Amino acid sequence: MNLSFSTWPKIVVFAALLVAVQVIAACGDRGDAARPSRVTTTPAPNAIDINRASADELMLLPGIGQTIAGRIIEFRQKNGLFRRPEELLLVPGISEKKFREIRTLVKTDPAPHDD
Amino acid sequence: MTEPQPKRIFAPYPLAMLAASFAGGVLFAHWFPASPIVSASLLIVCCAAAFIGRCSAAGSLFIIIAFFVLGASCLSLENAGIRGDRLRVLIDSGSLPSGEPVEIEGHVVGAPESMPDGVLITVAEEKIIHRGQSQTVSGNARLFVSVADERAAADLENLDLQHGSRIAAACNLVREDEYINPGVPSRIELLDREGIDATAMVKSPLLIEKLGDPTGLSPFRWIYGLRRSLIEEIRARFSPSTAGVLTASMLGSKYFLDKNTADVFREGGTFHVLVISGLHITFIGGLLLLIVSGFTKKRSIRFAIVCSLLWSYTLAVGANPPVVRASVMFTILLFSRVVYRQGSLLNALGLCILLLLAWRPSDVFNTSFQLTVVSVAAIVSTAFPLIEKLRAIGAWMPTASTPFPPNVAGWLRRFCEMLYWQPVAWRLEVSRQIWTARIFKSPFLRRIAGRFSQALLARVVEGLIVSLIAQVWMLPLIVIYFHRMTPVSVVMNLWVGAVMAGESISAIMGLAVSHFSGFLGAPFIVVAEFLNYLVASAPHGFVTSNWASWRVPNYSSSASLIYVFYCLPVGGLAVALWRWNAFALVRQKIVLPGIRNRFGLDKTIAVAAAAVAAVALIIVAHPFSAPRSDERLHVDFLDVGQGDSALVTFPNGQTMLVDGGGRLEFRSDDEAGEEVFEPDRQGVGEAVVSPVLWQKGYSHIDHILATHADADHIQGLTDVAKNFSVGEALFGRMPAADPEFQELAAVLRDRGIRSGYVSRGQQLKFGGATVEVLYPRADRATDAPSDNNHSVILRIVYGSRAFLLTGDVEREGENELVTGGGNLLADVIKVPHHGSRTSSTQEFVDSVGARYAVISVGRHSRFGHPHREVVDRWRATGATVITTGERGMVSVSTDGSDLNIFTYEK
Repeated sequence: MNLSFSTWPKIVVFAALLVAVQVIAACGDRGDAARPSRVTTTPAPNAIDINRASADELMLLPGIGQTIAGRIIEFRQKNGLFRRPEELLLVPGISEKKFREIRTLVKTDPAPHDD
Repeated sequence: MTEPQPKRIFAPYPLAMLAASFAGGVLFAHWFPASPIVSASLLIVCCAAAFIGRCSAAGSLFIIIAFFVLGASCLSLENAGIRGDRLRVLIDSGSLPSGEPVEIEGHVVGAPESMPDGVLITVAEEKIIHRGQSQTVSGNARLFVSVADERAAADLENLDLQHGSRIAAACNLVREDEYINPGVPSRIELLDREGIDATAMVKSPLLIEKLGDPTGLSPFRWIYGLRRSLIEEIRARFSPSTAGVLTASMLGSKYFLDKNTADVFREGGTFHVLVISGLHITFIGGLLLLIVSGFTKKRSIRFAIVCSLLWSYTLAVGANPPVVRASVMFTILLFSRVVYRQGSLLNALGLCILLLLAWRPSDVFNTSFQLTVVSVAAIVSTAFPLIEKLRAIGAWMPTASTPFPPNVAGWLRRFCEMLYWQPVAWRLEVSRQIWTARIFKSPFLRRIAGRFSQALLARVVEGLIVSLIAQVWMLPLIVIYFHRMTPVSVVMNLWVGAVMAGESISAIMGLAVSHFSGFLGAPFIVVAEFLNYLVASAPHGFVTSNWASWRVPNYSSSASLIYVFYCLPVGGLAVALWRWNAFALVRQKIVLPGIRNRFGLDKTIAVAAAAVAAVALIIVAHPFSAPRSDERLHVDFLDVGQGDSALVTFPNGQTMLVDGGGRLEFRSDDEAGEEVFEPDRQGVGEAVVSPVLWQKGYSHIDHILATHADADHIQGLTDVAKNFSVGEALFGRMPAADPEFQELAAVLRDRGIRSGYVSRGQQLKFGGATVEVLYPRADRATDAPSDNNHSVILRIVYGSRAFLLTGDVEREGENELVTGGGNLLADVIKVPHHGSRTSSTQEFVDSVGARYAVISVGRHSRFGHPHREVVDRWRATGATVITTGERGMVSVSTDGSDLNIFTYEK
């Protein structure tokens, strides 16, 4: 290439410096950002244990009808006990929205042990 | 150029030779697998033989053979090295059924990859819990975590997933092919090549539980964090199209590309600039080298700095194999400079291939590996030497080694002089010598204003040569893998390459400056946006015109030998160009005498180039690719997942595609007004139906027919109409207001394909076969509904055999057919509505009396298709039920009396 080698590096070094500053700034931003504290959900005292509840008990939950209650029990029988209430989301028909509504009303107690 | 060329021209390139032999060994072992013991003992024998004969030619021969055997043993070792607790082994052996809910534990590998509607996480598995049983596993799973709304996004943010985080996730692990058809690449194979054993769709971040944070400081996390914040910033500051192009080309995240932008690149044959590859690494490496040369003259320090920066970049963009490959190649080339080897590039390429294949021998079968190697080999072995030679011709001045002017045709000499002749250098030379001379240079030269435009012109011509030669070498691969010919890409590559370089530099500057002052940064951002317009929007009309880019079917079975045959003239041309000595006083003897030397080129080159052009024409114009009519009626039920598509080939060779598959997506009305981001994702028509037709060798389809306007039937036809020359499109109804129909109608209008109606009572004749249209009644109103119960129903009769294609017709339509008194008898039926219980009433099933009932349905139907009672109903009448979900493509053919049925998956 016939470009002059005396001017090019200056331009490029300038660009590189800018990028470096940018990099440091960006990383600083990340570090400073206050991390939101973890949301912990405590189940209500009369929460339903989804590993033991019968279909009728499950149907007491808002938005859970006969079909879904049946699916929950079928899922439990087929795939073993729920380890966390969140696993209800694996049951077909329980959307994220529906789960959030019943999140505090269900529990898995005691959590099944590994092995 | 005084020394005679060595006879064995590849003798100075031992590594290239060894790499070729190693790759040959890997290929051999793939087709003829041998046990590791056999290959190991062979290897020892070869090494011993090579050692004994080390001083003779036989010794070299044995070394080459030894590398061949080594390649073979490496592949068998790689296959034997898969552990028994590997996820893919567990699923393939059936001990862990695909698609069952499981809980997996493991740690995150690499950075979570943001996507518009979720995030992609790769997890190295440690433990899996299935039905309450826990077991240890190895292998990688790729989880797509859906992020539906802000709350889900906040949940994901809370998890703070990083490289190394230990997580547990509840999901349905899947390892299966979506569509099983000849000519459609297997999804499992593609994932295996990336080292992914299974995938899962995780409904919500709530299903992921974090077990622990990574310990210690890791540069990886820092780099990944940086990349993520850069992606976010680019998306915040630039328009969606520009942000998509920038994140793809600089940060290796292809998920923010929108379909329109991506299509412009694809149709222009320049999509590779959006995938970080050799081009980027070379560009970035070159730029770094330029910067570093400003600081130090020590080669080893330069090498260390450039390589560490380059490898950080490689890691940051996810260290995908193609990027790693390019970085390895660049490092080797740079290292050869450090140890003062003005090493030939071909040798360095050989070393690189050897290293990469020793690392992962199965990469030989990888599309991206093949494309990289072939394009680099083309450039290094043919394009660069050719450019060197043209430069020598153009810059010739009398010296002791080249006392005579180049012995080439006048036009070529003048052309080269126009590019490379430098009067200044000549004046300097004359002033130094004791002799004087007058030489006559090109008259074209005066037209060129100054040195700058001459240099620019030379670069453009060099770029065109590189681009053209790479295209010629890659032609078979491009036709086989992409079914696309883009002559325009030779030019577009230069344009896009130059503008993209400018775009990324001004985008980086814009981002950096905006950090201090948005006002000062704005001009850079505007420039980047403008440059993006120049590459991504402005060429739209240009690249989508019919001559710029067209689709090509491939030759299959024994005709595919043409691709191997194509390599011969290409190799011949490369060798001829290599041996061409423009300063030789006597033209070399040629193989084929009597060919007139019209262009004044070396005759071998001319012959080889003509042969390349001839075979390329046979490949591109594909006159022999389509199957010849065999006087049989064929019906192929394609596996398009949840959807319908059947290709009918009539005894006279005419073709009719009934439905084209598609994905059912629910369009929300509230977003209709604003421009919705459409991710760059292939539809079923492009990903499945078109490749099946190309694989069969078709580029023309006589009729396409949409039974009704549901997406899973009509959507794929849009792609077919774009990719193929279509004789006529047939419809039962043309619902002008239906969005899916509108899309197809727009393509039909653009491409000048005429549309026609079919309705009850019509009979169409194709050779000896008759197509009876049984349904629906004619209704040419534009607001006539085109739903399931208005599906077009065809009965195709040939000799004593009949096929019934029923679309999605439901009970109501079936009753009308049964009571209508027409003949419904058929040997093979495509079961209505994917085997749903809305259809296949007992009366209907009885009146068809089919021998084979084919159900076109996905492996896991969202609607639970096929319904059990429907399957039982068909079985009860004695029919054999075959689903495309289980068996892949189902092909039935008849000569009018026999009936052959063949399924792609046994």
